Amino acid sequence: MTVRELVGKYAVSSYSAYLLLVMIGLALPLVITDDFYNRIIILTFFYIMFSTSWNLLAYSGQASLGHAAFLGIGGFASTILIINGVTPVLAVCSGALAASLVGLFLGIICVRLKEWFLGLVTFGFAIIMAAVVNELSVFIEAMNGLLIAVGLSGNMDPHMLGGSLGIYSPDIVSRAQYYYLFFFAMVGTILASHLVIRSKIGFAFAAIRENQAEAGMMGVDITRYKLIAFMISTFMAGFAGALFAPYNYFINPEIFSIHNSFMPIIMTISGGIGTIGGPIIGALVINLLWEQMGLWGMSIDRLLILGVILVLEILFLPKGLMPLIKKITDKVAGTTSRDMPL
Amino acid sequence: MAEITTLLQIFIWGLTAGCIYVLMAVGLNMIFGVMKVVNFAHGEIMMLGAFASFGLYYYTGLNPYFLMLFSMVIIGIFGVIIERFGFRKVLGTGKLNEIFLSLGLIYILQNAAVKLWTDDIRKINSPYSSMTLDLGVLNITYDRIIAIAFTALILICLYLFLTRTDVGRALRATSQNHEAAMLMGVNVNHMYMLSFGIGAALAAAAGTVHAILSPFNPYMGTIPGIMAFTVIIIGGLGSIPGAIIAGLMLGLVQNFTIFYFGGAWKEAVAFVLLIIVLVIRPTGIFGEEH
Repeated sequence: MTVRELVGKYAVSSYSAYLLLVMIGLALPLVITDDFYNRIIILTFFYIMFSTSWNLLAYSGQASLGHAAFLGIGGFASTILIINGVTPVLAVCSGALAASLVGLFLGIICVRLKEWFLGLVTFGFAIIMAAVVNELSVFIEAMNGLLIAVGLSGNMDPHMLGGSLGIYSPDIVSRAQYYYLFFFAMVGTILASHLVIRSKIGFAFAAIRENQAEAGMMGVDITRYKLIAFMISTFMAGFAGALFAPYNYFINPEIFSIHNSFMPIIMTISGGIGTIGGPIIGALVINLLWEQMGLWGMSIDRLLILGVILVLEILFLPKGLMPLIKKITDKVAGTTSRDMPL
Repeated sequence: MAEITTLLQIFIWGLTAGCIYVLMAVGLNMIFGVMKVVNFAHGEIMMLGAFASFGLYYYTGLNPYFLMLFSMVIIGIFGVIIERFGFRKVLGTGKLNEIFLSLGLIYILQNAAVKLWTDDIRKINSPYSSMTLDLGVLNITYDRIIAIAFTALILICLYLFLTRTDVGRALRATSQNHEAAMLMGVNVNHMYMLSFGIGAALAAAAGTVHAILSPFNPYMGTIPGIMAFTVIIIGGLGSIPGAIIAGLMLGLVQNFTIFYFGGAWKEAVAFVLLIIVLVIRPTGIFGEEH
C-alpha cells in the first residue's frame, strides 16, 4: 500500500469528524450568547493554536520549554504596531514574523545541540525576555502592566481605560466578530500544521525525531528541517500572541511567564504529543478544567493540580487521551485504528 | 571611574552570588554526569532547602550554619525519593519525558510550598548579620565570608569523597560508562539515587546561603535555577571544574553588570554570555563531545 492510499483511506473517518467539528464551531455563537463563556471559548481557541504550534516543534523532536517567549514577542510586536497606527492585519502578520525571526535565531544556536540544550536555552530565554521587556518598558510607553486600550479594530476603547484585567464587554457584533476571527485563525493553524505534517517536510521531521543519525544518512538535511520546524512553530506561536494581546486589551511582561510556557506542554501531553488532534483535545480539556477550577475559587491549588496531572501523565499516560478518542472515533466510523497521527 | 573600594565590594558580592551558582551547578552536573538527566526543578529543590533551614531555625533557634547540615541531609533524602519514584520510572523512555517530569515537579514543589507556607517574604537571621570584617579600605560582612568558606569546604569534601572513597570511585565510573560500571559490580541504581541525593543536598546548601544573605519566598528558586543551567552550559555539561569556574564568573559578571547598567540587565547578561559560549564553543569551556 502506498503512502497516498494509506493516507486517503485513513483520512475518510478523520476528515468527516473534523468537518463535523467545524460545523459545530461555526454554529456555536448562535447558542452561546453569554460574554463569559464566549471569552472562555476564545481562550480555548487561543490555547489550541498555541499548543498546535508547540506540538509541531515537538513533532520534529525539539521541545521548547519557553514557548511563551514567541507568544510574547508576537503580542508585543503587534500591540506596539497597532498603537502606532499600523493596520491591524499588517500588525498581526508582523508580530508573527518577528516571533519567527527570533525563533530562527534561537534555532540556529541550538540546532546542533542535544535536547537538554534546547530546553535550557528556550526556558531561560523566556525568563530573560521578561526581564528585558520589563527594562525596555521604560522607553516604550503604555507597557509594564499598563492597560493597552487598542483592540484589533485599531480604535481606542474609552470604556476600557480604567477597566480591570482583560474583562470587557463590547457589543454583540464585536463579540461574534472576535469569535469568528479566533475560530478561523485556529482552523487555519490546525490546517497548516496538518499540511506540514503530511508533507515531505513532516516526514523529514518524524525521521529526525525518531533517529537523527539515520535520517541524516538517508539524506535528510537535519539542520535545514530543524530550522524549518522552528520557524513554522514560532510563527504560529507569534501569530497566536499577536491576535490575543489586542483581543485581551492588555499585555505586560507576565506574558513571558513560565506558566505560559508550560500550558502548551501540559495541554499537548494531555491530548497526545505528536498528533494533530492531541493539542486540540488537550487544550480543550485542560483549559476548561483550568477555568472551572478558577470558578471554584482555586488559585494556587489549580497550579498544583496541573503539576500533579503532568507528572501522572508522564508516568502512566504518556500517549495522552488521543488513543482513547481514536478508539471511539474508529468505532463510530467503522474503521480500524492505525498508527497515524489523527 | 569607580573607586577601587567599590570595585572590590562588587567583587565580593559577585563571588558570593557565584558561590550559590557553583553549589547549584555542581549538584546539577553530578546528577547529569551519573544519570544523564537534566533536573529542571533544581531551583525548586534549592527553595525547599531554604525552607528546611528556615523551619529548623524557627523551631530550634540554633545557629543557621549548623542547621544547614541537617537541612542538607533532609533535602538529600528528599532528592533520593524524587529519583526513586519519579525519574527512575521514566529513565530510558526518551529525553523529553525526563524534561517534562521535572517541569511537573516545578509546578508541584513551588505551589505546594506556597500552599504550606504562603508566599510571604522571609529571612533567616544569622547571628553574624551585624558583624563585618574591617579591612581598612572595605568592610565585608561575616556572612559573605562564611558563605564563601562553606562553599569551598563543601567542594573540598565532595572532591575527597569522589576521589578517595570506593563509593566515590563507583560514582565516577558510572558517569563514565554505565555498562562497564555495571559489569564491575557497581549497583547503578544506587549510584543514581546517591547522585540525586548529593545534588539535592548541594542545592539545599545553596538555598540556605541564599536565605541567610537575602529574603526569600517559594518563588526564589526559579532564577537561580535558570542561572545554574546557564552555568553548566557555559562550563560544559557534566564538568565539575567547569561549573565552578563558570559559576564564579557568572556571579562576577552579573554583579558588575548591575553596577554599570542596572539590576534589570543581570539576567540578560547571563543569556548573552550563554549565547556567545554556545556559538564559539558549543560544548562549553570544559565540556567534552557528548
